[in-house]
Amino acid sequence: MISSLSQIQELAEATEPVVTAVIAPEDPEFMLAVKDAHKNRFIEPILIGRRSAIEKAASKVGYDLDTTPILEVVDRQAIANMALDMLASGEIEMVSKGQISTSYIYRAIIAKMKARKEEAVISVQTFWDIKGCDHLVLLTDPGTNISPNEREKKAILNNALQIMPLLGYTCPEVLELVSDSANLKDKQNPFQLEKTPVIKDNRGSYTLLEPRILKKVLLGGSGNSIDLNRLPHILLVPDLNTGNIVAKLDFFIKDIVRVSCSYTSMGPILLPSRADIAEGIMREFVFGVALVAESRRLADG
Amino acid sequence: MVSLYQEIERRAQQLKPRRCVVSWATDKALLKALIIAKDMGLITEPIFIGPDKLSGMHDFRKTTSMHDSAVMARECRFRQEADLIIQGHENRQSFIDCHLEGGILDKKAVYLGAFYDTKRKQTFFAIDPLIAVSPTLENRIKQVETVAPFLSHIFERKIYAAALAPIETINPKLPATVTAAVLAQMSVRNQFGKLFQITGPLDIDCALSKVAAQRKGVENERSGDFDLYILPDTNSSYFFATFLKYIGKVPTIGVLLSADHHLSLNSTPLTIPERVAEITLGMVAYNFLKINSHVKDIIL
Repeated sequence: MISSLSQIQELAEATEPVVTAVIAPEDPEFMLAVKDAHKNRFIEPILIGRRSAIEKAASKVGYDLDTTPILEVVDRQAIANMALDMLASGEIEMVSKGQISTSYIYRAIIAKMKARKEEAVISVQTFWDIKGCDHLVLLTDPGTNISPNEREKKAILNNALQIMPLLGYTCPEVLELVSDSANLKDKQNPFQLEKTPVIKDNRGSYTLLEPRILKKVLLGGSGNSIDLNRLPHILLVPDLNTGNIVAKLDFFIKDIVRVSCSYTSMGPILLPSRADIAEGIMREFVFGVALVAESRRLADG
Repeated sequence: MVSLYQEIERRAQQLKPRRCVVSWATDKALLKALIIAKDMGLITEPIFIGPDKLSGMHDFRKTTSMHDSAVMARECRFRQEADLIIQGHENRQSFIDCHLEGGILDKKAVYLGAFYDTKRKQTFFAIDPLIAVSPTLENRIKQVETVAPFLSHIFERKIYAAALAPIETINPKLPATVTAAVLAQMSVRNQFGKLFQITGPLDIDCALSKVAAQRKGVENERSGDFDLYILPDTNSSYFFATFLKYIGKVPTIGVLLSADHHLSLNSTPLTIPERVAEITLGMVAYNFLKINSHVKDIIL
């Protein structure tokens, strides 16, 4: 079981570079991360977008593009579609968003999911490496579903269960977060995840924890001291408002390091925020590469 | 003794001691905190209500029911024996319900969470982790009207608030972005007073990080250094507070500000200094009401 991002780094370092379509890398900070990921042999980038903007960004960070293919596409939706076509066909193994609205990528993913007859619910998986916790914690979905209904929550969980076995979590604990608010009517009818079908490829089952407020989970039976090792492996957040705010609390809590992606049956899709700096974007490249490495290993039997 | 929340402590130093009543007082740590608060001159001898008299409880009133304890505490307030009701070791929800007719809080009611940033050595606040589950815009405006003058009173300066949403642009599909934008524009027009400025909508990274705000082009003079975070709803606010407290180990207390109801909730588990700070915050809130009782819109 992978318990830290340093182990993720080791996995990524041990594998062959991952051919990655990079969508509209038109910002120097983002391009710096692409350059470093390429230089350190994590990725073999294929850059898709407006050539002039890509070359300008590369020039600003001293990135020599001589050996890096650029596919000139101007239309934003066409850029995203091309990257997803390449991913679905197996031509590449990973996609990363650059300076493009995420909605273009979501549309391209949904189109592919529908074509592959998959449930078209995209979700983001954010992993926390927390100091003092002996495992990674996955929060989902902090990125796409505004107010997921029961069907969408099940799909979000199934998406999470696709990625967890790659990190060695074969039967992760799942907690649906409920709040200790003054109006606890919703808590009386917690979402019944028990009915969720366990995914059938025998690589992912889970243990559903009884809905409890997080405080009680962390305090355990003694009720006095916090034990971060009690954190469940998967925390299902109730909605986008909560997920988006909570997942990024690493800006405040220095003991947390965060990585995110949207894992699909085609492979990982990295969705770094426009606010991210090169260090954080690089971390996401490394994370995606490690996922591909484990996916390759499992595919090889 | 209190090394946290200096802004609150400074405000409390100017106060006349008040009397509090503690409902379901079974918590020894709370008792210790009350003794400290009394030694600080913040409170007079408290009234304790509960099943067993503990050492140090001079004015003790026995009951074996949590519900009766809450009722007795309320009667103490009505008879003006006590100024502030403090929740002891009882269920929070039933405690609130017992003090509110039918469990309904007025639209101005807001639970104000106070956090101590140990790195910046500064207090910041957030609303609302307990009361308005899905606040309407009107509801949120009224909450801000309650909180704004109180925070200006505590800090004795202009307050800078961030109205949070999942994204920093306005999208009608995300009501939190619309609410945040309205609040921000209202503050531009000084509708919350000249001492209260709201920026929004901001996503959490832009609110907490100047670098992130710069990257997204929404940098503000207070990026990464806001006094108050206005969260979209109870869920997001509750988990903001919970994760900061339990995973970030950020000292966290709070007070329920509500017209006609003066309750200090028990944000367990708390260290003794945190409990003292929470009692102090309750007393500051109570006294703020007293000095502003002539202003209809500023009622706690």
